Amino acid sequence: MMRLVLHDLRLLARQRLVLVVLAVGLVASALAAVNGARWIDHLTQARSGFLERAAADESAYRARFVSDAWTDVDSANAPFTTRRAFAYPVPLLADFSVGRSDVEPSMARVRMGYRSDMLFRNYQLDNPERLLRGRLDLAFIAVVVAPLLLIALGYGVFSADRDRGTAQLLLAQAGGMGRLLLARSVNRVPLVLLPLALAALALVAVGPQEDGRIAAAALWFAVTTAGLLFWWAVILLVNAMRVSAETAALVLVATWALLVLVAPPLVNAAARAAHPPPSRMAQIIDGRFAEQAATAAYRNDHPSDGTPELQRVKDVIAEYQRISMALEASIGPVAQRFDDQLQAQQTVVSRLAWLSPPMTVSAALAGIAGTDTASYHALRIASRQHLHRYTAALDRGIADNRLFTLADHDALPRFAPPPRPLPHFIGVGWTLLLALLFGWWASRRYAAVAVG
Amino acid sequence: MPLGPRLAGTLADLMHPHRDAQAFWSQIDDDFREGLAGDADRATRAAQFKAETLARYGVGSTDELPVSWSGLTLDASERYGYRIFDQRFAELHAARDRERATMRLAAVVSPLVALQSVSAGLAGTDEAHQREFARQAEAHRRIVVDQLNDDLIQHGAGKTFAQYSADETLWQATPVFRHRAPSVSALARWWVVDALVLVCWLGLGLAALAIAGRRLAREVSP
Repeated sequence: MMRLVLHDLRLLARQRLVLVVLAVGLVASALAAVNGARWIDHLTQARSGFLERAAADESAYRARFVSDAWTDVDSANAPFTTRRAFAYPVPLLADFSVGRSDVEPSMARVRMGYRSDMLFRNYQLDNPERLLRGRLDLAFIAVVVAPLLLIALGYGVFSADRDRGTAQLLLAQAGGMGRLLLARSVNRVPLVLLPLALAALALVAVGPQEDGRIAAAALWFAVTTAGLLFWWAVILLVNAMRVSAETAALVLVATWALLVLVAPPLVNAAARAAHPPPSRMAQIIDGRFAEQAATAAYRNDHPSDGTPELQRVKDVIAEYQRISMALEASIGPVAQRFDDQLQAQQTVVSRLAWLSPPMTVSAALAGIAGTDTASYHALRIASRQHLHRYTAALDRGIADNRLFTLADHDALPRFAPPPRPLPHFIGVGWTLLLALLFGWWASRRYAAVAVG
Repeated sequence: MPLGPRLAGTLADLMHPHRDAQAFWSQIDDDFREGLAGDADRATRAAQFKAETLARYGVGSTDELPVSWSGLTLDASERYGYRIFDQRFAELHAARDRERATMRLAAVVSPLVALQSVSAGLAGTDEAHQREFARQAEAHRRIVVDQLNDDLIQHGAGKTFAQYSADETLWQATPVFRHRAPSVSALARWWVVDALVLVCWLGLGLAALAIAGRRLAREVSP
């Protein structure tokens, strides 16, 4: 068997196409790796820069608090003037799969009066045109480019021999169809995986040294391999049909275009049609009305004329806190409807993605990287809970009508990121099942050819 | 999204550093606090403004002003903010323009990049249209803010914020925002180069067609 593999490798090495495939794979993977490394570095730098600025602000605020210039009125105002910053952790493999990490907010400051639907502000400055075009990452190479390279190597893996009339001779020399195809598979699939493996190794070597990163990268690569095995099974199946190499190439490229280029926008369009995106503007307007109503209701119940200065400041802070909490309670269902609609869209996308194995592979890769929709959804929920805990902590002093103390300031809660949701591998399992099914079907047809 | 447009975005990624939104807004906070290049810091600016205002009205303290001191300081702060936002957003837009020029390089390998630009430009969904909308909206916001501040200055003297209340005439005088959509030709400079690139691709396609036709003709001729 080894001699057969080596013989096929020698024949393969003589083809110019192999060099082209290898060169394209290496250049594309290298570009993706450089881009990915810069991206995770940007995320890390932006996060640490933000947290350092926040720590400096907090330190300066604390210094003012303990200084002689600090007055009781400042203490009364403190629930409003104090702030706590938080940032999501940088996704584990954001350099492998950029996913949603370039569009989702990840840093915010929490302060009195902030609403959960307005927690993240002014977080996006990227060129919209650039965002629209997406980023070239290793996941893109694995899901979009690598299958094309595999098709280029495999479209005539057996049909070309049939076209030339040398199929029976080759089968006799190889000692059977299974041995011939195995030798050719062993030489071709790794050729496409090699640039991806090298790029993945480079990213692991130069990227952040975090716990679990190597295991996640290994898992990421395993899922990528599963995706390419699916494509190789499709290639073998098409070659098993009685078609010429040119027809096989056309069928394979059409299948690639259908599953990789056409299916994702179609699935997304179907999800949007089934669950139209709610209007963000309507949500903002609802929030404004709720704010006016809460303000009017509070002021009607709490006239504030003729109170001394310190108590007046306390009253203003209490008023703001009560109005904010009432507003949060009334805007909650609106925000929930907004979230539910987006979740419903996502559910439709997840279900329809089964029609396109590359979509399920892409989703699994983003899941492993921590840049998928589920990861950001979990973080968004955690950030809202953090806001609620922060508001409740502020409220304890305000409700007692006492001055805010340094101990209150130091006891304000800090954001704790939730455990990362486990990626779903059912889609990958489905992809592998399809690969096995197509492989089995192809082997049946090849067996018939060999007998013939 | 196919490779060509993504390559365009990657080129822009590689040649222009990513901007951090939090750093951008921190810079604006610093501009307010420290002042733009050549300007004094906030405390000094405030002291200068106070001295100039007292001199202009010929009074010894802000309590003696015939207009609202709070209104004047709000107005001065807003006007300084206009300068900061104009400068920083002009820098941001200039950076985006450079990125756009870089992304256009990818049109050499894929006509899709140029096609997307022309298509979005003609549909009115490109950044040029968004920027024009933002420009008009910001101009309108400044009119409203200036009106509000002016009313406070004129009618808020000697009153706290709680005591000052604008009447109906102010709200009736506030203009309603009406967006004036730009004409196709007004923003054509954004995509005219892309259109020329497309024409070049068309020329290449026609040339390839002509060569193929000639070869076929040679093959079938006896």
